[in-house]
Order: sequence, then C-alpha cells, then structure tokens
Amino acid sequence: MSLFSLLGVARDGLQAQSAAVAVTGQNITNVNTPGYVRRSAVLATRPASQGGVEVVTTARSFDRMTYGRAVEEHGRRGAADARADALASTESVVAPGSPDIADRANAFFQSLNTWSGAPADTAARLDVLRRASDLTRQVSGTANDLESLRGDLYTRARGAAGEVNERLGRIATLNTAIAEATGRGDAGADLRDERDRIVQEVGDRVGARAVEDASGRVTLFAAGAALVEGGRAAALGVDLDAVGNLRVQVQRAGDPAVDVTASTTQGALGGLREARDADVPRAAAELDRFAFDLAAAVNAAHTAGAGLDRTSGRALFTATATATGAARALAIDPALNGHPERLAAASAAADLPGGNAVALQLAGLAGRPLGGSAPPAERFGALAADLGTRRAAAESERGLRADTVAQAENLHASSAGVSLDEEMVNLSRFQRAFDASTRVLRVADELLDNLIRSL
Amino acid sequence: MRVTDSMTFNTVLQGQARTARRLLDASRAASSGERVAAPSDDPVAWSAAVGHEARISRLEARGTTTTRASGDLDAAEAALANAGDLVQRARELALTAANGSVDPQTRANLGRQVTDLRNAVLGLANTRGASGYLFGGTRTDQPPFDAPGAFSGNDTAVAVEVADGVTARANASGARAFTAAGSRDVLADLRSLADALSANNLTGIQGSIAALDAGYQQVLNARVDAGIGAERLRSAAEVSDNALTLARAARAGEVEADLPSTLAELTNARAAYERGVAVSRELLQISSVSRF
Repeated sequence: MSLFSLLGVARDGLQAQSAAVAVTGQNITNVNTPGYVRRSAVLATRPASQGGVEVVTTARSFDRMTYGRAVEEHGRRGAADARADALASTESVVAPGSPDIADRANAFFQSLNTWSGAPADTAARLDVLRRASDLTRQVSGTANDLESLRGDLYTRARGAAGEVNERLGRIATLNTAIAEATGRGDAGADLRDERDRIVQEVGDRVGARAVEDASGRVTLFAAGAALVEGGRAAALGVDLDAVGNLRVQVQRAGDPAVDVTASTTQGALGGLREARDADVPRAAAELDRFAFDLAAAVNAAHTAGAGLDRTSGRALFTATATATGAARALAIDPALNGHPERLAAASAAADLPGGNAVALQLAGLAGRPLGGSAPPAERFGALAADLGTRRAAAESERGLRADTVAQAENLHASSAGVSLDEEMVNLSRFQRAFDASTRVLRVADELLDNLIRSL
Repeated sequence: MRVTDSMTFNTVLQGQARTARRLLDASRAASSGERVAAPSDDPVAWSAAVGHEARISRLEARGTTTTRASGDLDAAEAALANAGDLVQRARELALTAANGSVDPQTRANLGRQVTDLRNAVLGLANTRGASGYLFGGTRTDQPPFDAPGAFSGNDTAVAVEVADGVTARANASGARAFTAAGSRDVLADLRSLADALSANNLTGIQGSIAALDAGYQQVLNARVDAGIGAERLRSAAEVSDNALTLARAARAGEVEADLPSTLAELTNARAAYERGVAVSRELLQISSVSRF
C-alpha cells in the first residue's frame, strides 16, 4: 500500500465514521418518534486492493414477526376497548345510580300500598299517578337512551371506517413509493416507517395483517378481505342492513361490494359492532319484556276494578300488542292522566269509595313474579346484573389486551426501538474511530511531508 | 432482550396507570362507603341489593299502612267502648224506671236522658278515622247512620297486607256493632226505650232491658274484635319492623364497604402509588446520556 493509498484509507474512515455518527444522531433524535425503527450503519472494508472502509448500507432493525404480532394485538385491543367503552355507556344508561328503574318501581309500589290504606284519599291517588309517571318516564327514557346509544355507536363505526379508508389510501401511495425506492436501490426506510405505523393504526380500527412482497409493498388483510394490494386500496363501507344492524362492506374499484360483516370482529369496528348489535339490543329487549310484563300485570288487576266515577275496565298503562317497543311506549293511559278519581281501588262500584281489594292486589304485585320470573324490582336487578357481568368481562378483556399489547410492543421495541444508552456508546465508538482516522490522516501527511523534504 | 427507551417509558406509564386506578377505586369506596356503585362492580351483590331494597320498600310501606290501620281500629275500639258504656248507662236508667214506684214525670226525665244517650251513641257510630267513617264498611265518605238511625253503610271488610300475600281486616264492623246484622239494632232499641219512658209505658221499659243487654253484648263483641284486630296489626307492624332491620343489614352487607378493610386498602393503594411515583422517578433519572 502506498502512502497516497493511506490518505485514501484515512479519508474512507472519516467518511464512514461520520456517516455512522449521522445514523446514530438520527436514532437519538427519533427516540420518541412513533413508528420509527432504529437504523444502524453497516460498515465493511473496501476490497483489499484499497484497504479502506465504507458504509455499505443503513440497516433498518425491523422484525416482521414481532411487528405482525403487535399489529394483531392492537386489533384485539381496539375491539376490547371499543366494546368496554360502549358497555360502560350502556350500564350508565340502564343503571345510572339512584334513582334507577328499580327505585322508581319500588316508589310506585310503595305509593300503591299507601293508597290501599286510604283508597278514597285524593292525595294518595295523586301520589300513585305521580309515581307511575316517574316509573314510565324512567323506563321509556332508558329505552330511548339505549336507542340513541345505538345511533352514537353507528356514527362512531362510520367514523372508524372513514379513518380506515383514509389510511388505506395512504398505505397504497406509500406502497408505490417504496416499490419505486426499492427499484432505485434505496431501502426507503422512512417510507416504510410511515407505512408500518399507519398499518398499525388500521389494526387499531379494524384489525390488520400485512404481508410484504419482494418489492417492499404490503398486501393488507382486514375483516377477511384484502384492503390494500400494492398501489390499489379498497374502501370500507358501513351502513345498516334490513333489520337495522351494522353492515360492513368492502368495495374495490370496478367490483361489486363484498359483505364482510361477519368477519369484522377485530379493531374498534369489531368492538363497536358487537356492542351495538349484540350487547345493547340484548339489554333493550330485556327492558322491553320487563315493561310489557309490568304493564300486562298492572293492567290485568286495574281493569278489574272500579274508579271513584264508578267506571270499570280502564288500563293504568298504555299496552303494546307484543313486547317489541313496549319500553319506549310505556306511559300512563291517557284516560287516567290527570284523573286520580279514575284510579280503580275497589273491585266493584258497590264497594266505593273505601273498597281497596284492587289497590291491595296492585300493591301486592311488588312481591309477585312478573311474567313468571321474578318480582319487578328483582327482575330489573337481574337485567342490570346481566349487563354488569358483561361489562365486567369486557373490562377484564380490556385489561388483558392492554397487557398483551404492551408485551407485544415491548418485544417489537426490543429489536426496533432506540436505546439511548446504546446510541451513546455508538456515538463514542464512532467518534473515537473518527478521531483515529484523523490521526491516520495526520500521520500519512507527516510521512509524505518527511518524504518530500528528504528528496 | 434489548431494553429500549420506549420499553422503559411504557412500563413506567403502565405501572402508573395501574396504581392510579387502584387509588381511585379505593378513594371512591372510602368516600362513598359503598364498594358496589354499579352492577359491574359486583353483579351478584348488586342484584341481591336490588332485591333487598325492594323488600325494604315493601316493608316500609307495610309498616306505614298497618300503623295507620291499627290507629283507625284503636279509634273504633275506643268509640265502641264509649258506646258500650252509654248502652250500659241506658240499661241502668231502664232498670231504675222499671221500678213501679217511679212517677211518670221522673220517667219522662229519664226518657230525655236516654234520648241524649242515643244521640251520643249515634255520634260515636258516625266516628271518623284517618281513612273516613270508621263504621260504614267501604262507605267511608258519608256518615253511615242518619238521624233516625238508618244504616247506609255495608259490612264489607277493608284489608291491609300484613305479610307477603297475607291480609288482615283493617276496619271495624259498624253493621254488626250497631244494627240488626249483629242481632240487635242498638239505636232503635234506645229509641224504643226513650219512647217507652216518655209514654210511661212500663211494659215497654221492662221489655227494652233485655234488648239493651243483648245490644251491650253486641257492642262489646265488636269492641273485642276491633281490639284484637288492632293488636294483630301492631304485632304485624313489629314483625315488619324487625324484618326491615334485617333487610337493611342484608343490603348493607352486600354493597357497603367494610370500613377497616376499606381504609387499609386506601392506605395500601396510596403507598403503592407513591412508591410507583418514586420508582418511576428513579427509572427516568437513570441515564448514561450525561456521563458520556
């Protein structure tokens, strides 16, 4: 090796070490950047004839397996979070604290009991009507709130689909850019960071699995369908089917829409769908049956009695033909509204005004099974407890998924994340090598200088 | 495994979130005194508490109703006791007047006294209670006896619930106390006596003594029935009261927080939170950055 070659070696060393310092600096400055995958400068000796060093590539420390697992876990956590949040809202609608429907039912039956002791008393009659009104308003208000909640969940599901679609388009664009960069021999690390971060965001919303091809593009699968293939993105559509349940469809340009509702189980969309179309309707149906049975039992007793106006056959509550919609429709019968004298306490007009057989029967409903199951307040208690059990399970699932996501992210971060300690060591290492290369350059220069002087 | 900065921060954040949640839960239980605030806190306990609350509500209502009804029966018993005394007094006057040595003027005076006694009995038979006229059966809105003594009420029983599915009569029978439904029409017998006294009709006076004996016994029987009824309602109210205490205790057992263990948990949660903060601070301070 000639002295002039030594100058070249020193130059290579300076260039390579400064490039490595630059990569280290990039890692340090991006330590908190979401989706950033640490880089490392890969140094290699130049061919023996030259003897120098060069940065052959900047490697991206990306482990596709741990990344894939993290994305999958994000999808599961997204579903658990969305369902747990929706069930928390459902619980606060059904059991909002005192007074809830059970409290209203207790107050209603208490007023009936008091009235049975003073059947002709107008104040007691007015109290019965007021308590009945409180109860019906609470039941119908709860049913309306559950319906509104379903509407909110639908809006959120559409919002989630919109966010997914916006990201699918960006993934397709990035796919194209990455393929072009790969074609140019560029790893496209920044583009990949950005795309992989967005894939994870899609996972949060609908669950995702990405398969990368040789050109660096990914095919993104979600809800049982390919949503991104190379540079082409499909669109996710959310609307309602014939019975009012969420329908999720995948629409690719030029193709008919594909229904993927049944496969939409992951991500926020999956959680929202389960909450909206399974959990909330179950609570609403139970509430309907409760209202239907309550109205039927109360009306059966009340119609048999006579009001102070000597008229029989009046219902106390409005009744529906079936349980469907009974909770929303529950109200005091218009004929009784504002007419306490029409409340029927006596079993016959001959027993007026002090007869209380019907009032006693109505008050006794508080302790009798409603619709063959349990007394009214207990029946509502079972309804709310069922909801509470499902929410508790959903919260437990949320905690589990948070832990598994943390575990998967840690596993991925273990290879892809930046360690400042490590980077500090690298910084020092490359700096020392840079200093040493400078020293080599100075020595070579001195040697050449000496040589020239000696001539 | 490489340990990266994001792993450290995530671990710190997770730990902090967990201890903060525990502290929040412990604070809520300690401040409200209830460990179950929503069905999801403990569905089984919540459902049981709803059942206990329903029972508490029923027992409270039953207590109010039976107490009120027993008050009416007490008033009825008192009225019947007075009425019995008055009938007995009328009988004594009849016995006095039945003596052959009593002159017509004295008998006429005694007749006026008997009329006053009859009016007093009529007033007692039309006594009002908390739920209306006490002796009219279900006709509680108008006096059951008019001035001539005609009865416009009925003998229909008014019941109150004294236990689950069990009722007891809550009104006294005016028909059986004062009218022929009980065997003697007391007011009519008193009127007959007054008329006999005014007319100086010794046979009529002597005849009314047996009728008043029967009438007195009839009123006495009704009084005993009312007293027994009132006692039964009071006893039922006591049973309800005891059951109420048990139901309240059962509800408290389901949802209320045990004070010592709640405060202990609050202390532990606060200690865990503070320890977590201290450890986090230590973790975040450990760095080699400044040493290079």
